[in-house]
Parts: sequence; structure tokens; C-alpha cells
Amino acid sequence: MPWNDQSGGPPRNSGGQGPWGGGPRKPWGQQQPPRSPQRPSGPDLDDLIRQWRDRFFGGGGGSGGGAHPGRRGLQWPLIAGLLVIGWLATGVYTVDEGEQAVITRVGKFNRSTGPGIHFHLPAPIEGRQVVNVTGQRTAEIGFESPRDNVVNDNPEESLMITGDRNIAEIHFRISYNVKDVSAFVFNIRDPDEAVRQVAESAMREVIGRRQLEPIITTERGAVEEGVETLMQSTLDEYQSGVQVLQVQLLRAAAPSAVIEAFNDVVNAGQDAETLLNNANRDTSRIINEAQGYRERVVREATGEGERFIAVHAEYRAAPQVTRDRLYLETMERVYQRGNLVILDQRSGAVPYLPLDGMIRRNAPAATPPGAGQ
Amino acid sequence: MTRNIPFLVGGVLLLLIVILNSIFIVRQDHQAIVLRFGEYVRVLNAPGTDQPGMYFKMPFVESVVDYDRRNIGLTLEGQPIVASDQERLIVDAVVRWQIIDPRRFYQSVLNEANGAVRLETFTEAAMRRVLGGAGSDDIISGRRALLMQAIENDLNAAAAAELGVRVVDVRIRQADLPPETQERVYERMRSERQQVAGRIRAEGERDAAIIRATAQEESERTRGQGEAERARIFARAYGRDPEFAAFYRSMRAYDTALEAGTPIVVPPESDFFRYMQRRRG
Repeated sequence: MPWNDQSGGPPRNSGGQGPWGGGPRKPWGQQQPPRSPQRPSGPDLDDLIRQWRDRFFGGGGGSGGGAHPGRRGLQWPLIAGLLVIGWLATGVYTVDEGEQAVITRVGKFNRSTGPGIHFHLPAPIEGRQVVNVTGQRTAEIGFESPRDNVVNDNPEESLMITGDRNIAEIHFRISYNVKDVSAFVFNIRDPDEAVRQVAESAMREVIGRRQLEPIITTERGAVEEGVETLMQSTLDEYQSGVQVLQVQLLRAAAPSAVIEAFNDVVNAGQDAETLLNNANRDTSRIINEAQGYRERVVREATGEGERFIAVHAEYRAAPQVTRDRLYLETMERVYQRGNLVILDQRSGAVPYLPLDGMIRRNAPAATPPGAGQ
Repeated sequence: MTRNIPFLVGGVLLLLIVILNSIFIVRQDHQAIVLRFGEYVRVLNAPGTDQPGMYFKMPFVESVVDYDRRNIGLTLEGQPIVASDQERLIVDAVVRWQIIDPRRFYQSVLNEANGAVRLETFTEAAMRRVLGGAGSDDIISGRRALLMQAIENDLNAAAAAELGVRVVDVRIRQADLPPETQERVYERMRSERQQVAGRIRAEGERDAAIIRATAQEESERTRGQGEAERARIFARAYGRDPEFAAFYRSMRAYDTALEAGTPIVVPPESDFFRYMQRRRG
């Protein structure tokens, strides 16, 4: 506060006083001189309060009544003007893209306006309601999803009875928007809740007309379609101004209480498939084995037959010789391998043969070959 | 001048109160009736008319009762219904209704909360009447839409005239089996599924057995073909000289059949030892 600096003072202040100090006293200046010398720190709170009180209530403090007319003329229009501006400002509103505003004049629907900044007559005369019309509104029925990937089933809503007296667990989501903003605002109380109720009722009606099996497998699309049609016609009947955009069947399954039995049917199908696959695998093994056997047997026979024919051709040339030779050669090999005992029975005595010991060394088959005379 | 100020302020306030008390606004989505010392005078903006806006009334003498004009939802939860086939069902319903005769509504129930309570009573009775005469199958599925329409008609015939309301729609939101029955339904569903699963498994086993048996059949046939072929080949070969064939085959059999170390007892008179005995050819 340079003007309070009495001692040194900057060179440009010739008098060494405050800026207003030297000149003739102005009306406002009267209040300052008593303060400045006493409190060099500047205006304090008390002074400010007194100042304001003086201005608004005609200076009850008794400091110079002569200034009153000038103050009145200046303050009251200002306040009134501010109030009027404030009042008018209640009529300024903006409408975002995708929204529409419904304007009522003394309660009566007057107009609806699109996006942009607009003005309506101030508060009690005209009122507005800004509604998001093109933005999708959604309702989720049968479950709550507080976070992504978290689905909490709400059995009160999700369990529905089907036409064949089974119970299905249904989660679905509907999206809708507003096609007629004034109908939406004026015709239905709590339209969002109404849409939800209509959706739930329509879904139960559609589910109630169908069998469980198709609902959870092939007819999901038909269910969605049926619910959408039914909802739209009901909401149109209410003149709700609501357009149903989509019905999404998120879950259509057997209730969790019996889901195990349902899964077991799927498992059974897999099991049966496995059995068939195994059987088919065995089939090719069995058949190939058999074909191999046939081929082997036939080829062996062919070979053996040809072998015999060859030997026989030679035999025909010299029957006795060949026959003897074959006999002796065979016996030679057999006796070579075998454990030969030559026993002359003409003696009449029964000799002791340690057959036990001989058999024990070998395989059980020990019948003496009857190569008699 | 200073003495007049309280009077002035008082006068302005009084005037303001009088003006405010003689003006009222009927909103687009509301309707109102004007009463003079409690006696009906006129109705404004009832459904079917289009009279929202600002109106004047005699201050203090006339009063205004304001009602909603919109379609209002009323939810009835957990109504136990016994269908004509004695099946018990828990039914939730939503009634959409609208005040269409505010004078009548004022006379019979005074305010909306009372009206809702009365309408609820009417609806419960209508539901019992209509649903009690229908089979549970009809309620759950078949004729649900028709039954809802019947309840609506029933309500419009009785309640509407008495309360001055119109029932726009009645929707059965849920028609479910009571919890104890529900458990039995689950049990049945489970057994049905088990039956299906059992059938699928059995069919799988049967089909697998058939496939194996067919394969076995094919296999035997193939083996038979092989063996027949073998027999034919041998017959043709050995048929050239059956006697020699028997000898030749026997020789081979001795050769292959007897293992090493087989004990063989042979009398010295055997053919093999012919020359051991005679010494001379």
C-alpha cells in the first residue's frame, strides 16, 4: 500500500502522502483519513462490514448523511437488474446431441427442441424436461452384473416356467430408446420401470408357450423375436413413445439346480460317441486281421501245394527210392532231436525205464511214437 | 413515509397471497378438479380432453385437487391362486391404470394412494375369479393372453365405474409354482434328463456292439474264404496222388511235431533199424 507509506515514500509521490491525500475530499474519501494514520495495515473486516451496511441501509452509522440520494440511485437498479438477469437466465438451456427437450408453457406442452442452446420463457412461465432420446437405454432382467464378467443370477426374475412344465433360467437384456418424446414424458409414469415390467411379462408369456428343449437350443432367436414383438405392441398400446431396439437372450438354460443332469445328457452323447469311435477302431483292426489271415493261409497253401507237386513229380520218376529216402531223412532228423530208447520186446521181460527223469527234462508230451513194423 | 412502510409491505404481501391463491397451473400430464367449499365445481384436463395451462379460481373459497393423468403402474406380488385343476400357483401381476373420472375418483377414494389400494383389492378378486376358473396349463401357457384380457374386462366392468379409473392393461408377470412344488419339478426334470442320458449311453453301447459284431462277421467270412481257398488248393495238389500225399505229409508232420528231447521208445524191429538186424541188404 504505497499511499500508507508515510516515512520515505517513492520519489514520484511529491507530497509523501496517499494518492487522494492532497486533493479535495471526495464523498468516499471521508471514511479513509481516520483509518489510514491509525492502522497502516489497510482496510480491515470491521470497516468493510460497516461500509456495506452503510451502502445498503442508508448509512445508519451516522457518517455523513449527504451522500444518501446518490447511493440509492446507484444500488437498487443494479440489484433489480441482476435479479432480472438471473431470472431470465433460468430460461437458458442446452440440449446435447441425441437429446430432446420438451417445453411446457404454464404446464401445457408447447414445443420440443433439438440439440443446441435454446431459450425459453423464465421459470414459472415455461418449464423444460430434457430427455435422452436416441441414446440406448437398457434393462437387464434375470441377473445383475455389478462388474464386467461378473453375473449374479437373480432367481426371482430369471426362473420361468415353460410350456411343458419345466423351469428355465433366462437372462436377457433389452435396449430401447424414445421415439416420441412428448408421449414418453406425458403418457406414462416411470416409463423405464414400465418397460421393464412389460419386458418381463412378455418374456414369461413367450417362454410359457414353448418347450424347454427348443428354448435352450434352437429357438433362441424365435424367443427374442417373439418378446420384441409382444413388447412393442404392448408399449404402443400404452402410447409410451418407446421404441424397442433389441432383445438379447443372454442365457437360456436349465436352472442351476438341475444343470448337472442336463450336462450329463451332453456327457452321455460324448460317451456314446466315444464308444462308437472305439468300435469303429476295433472294426478296422478285426477286418484287417481277417484279411491278413486269409491272404496268409492262401499263400501258404499255394506254396505248400506247389512244393508237393514238385516233389511228387520227382517221386513219380523213382517212387521207391524217393519214398525210402524221405522216410530215412525224416527219421534221422526226428531221432536226432528226440530222446531215443531202443527196446527189444521179444525178450519178454519188462524193463525199467526212468521215464520220469526223461520227461522232466522235456515238454510234457511224451507219447512214444508208434513207429512199429 | 417511514410510518407507512409496514402497511405498504403488508398490503403487498396480502395482495401477493391472494393472487397466488387464485392462480393454479394444470400440467400437461396432470388433471385437476376444482371444489368450492368441498363441493365439486369443474374438472380440468381429464383424459380425453386437452386443457392444460394456467387457470384462475376464487381465492380461499375454491380449492384444487390435482391428480396424475398418466398411465400408472400397480404391482401385485405373490398372489396365491388355485387353478381349476387344484394346482397352486403364485402369480405376480402388473395393472396399468389411469384416472379418467377425477370427480368420481375424489368421491370414492380421495387420493391416489387409496385408489391404488382399492384397485389392488379389486384386482385380487378379479384374478381369483378369472384364474380360478382356468386350468393351470392355461395360466402358464396356452391362454395367458386371453386370461389377462378377461381380468382387464372384469376390472373395467366393476372397478372402473366405481373408482373412476380405466384399466389400460393387466399383465401376468409371473405365474410360478410354489417353492415346494418347484423342488418336485426339479426332481422330475432331473429324472427326465437321467432317462435321456441313460438312453443315449445304452444306444451308444448297442451301436458299438453292432459295429463290432458286424466286423466279426466280416472277419469270419474272410477267414472262411481263406480256409476254403486253402482246402481247394491242397485238394488239387494232393489229389494227384493221395497215397503219396499221405506219406509225404506224415513225414513233414513228424519232422515238425516232435520237439527236441522228446523221449521215443522204438523197438529194434522198426523199419528204421531194418538193416541193423539183417546186417545184410
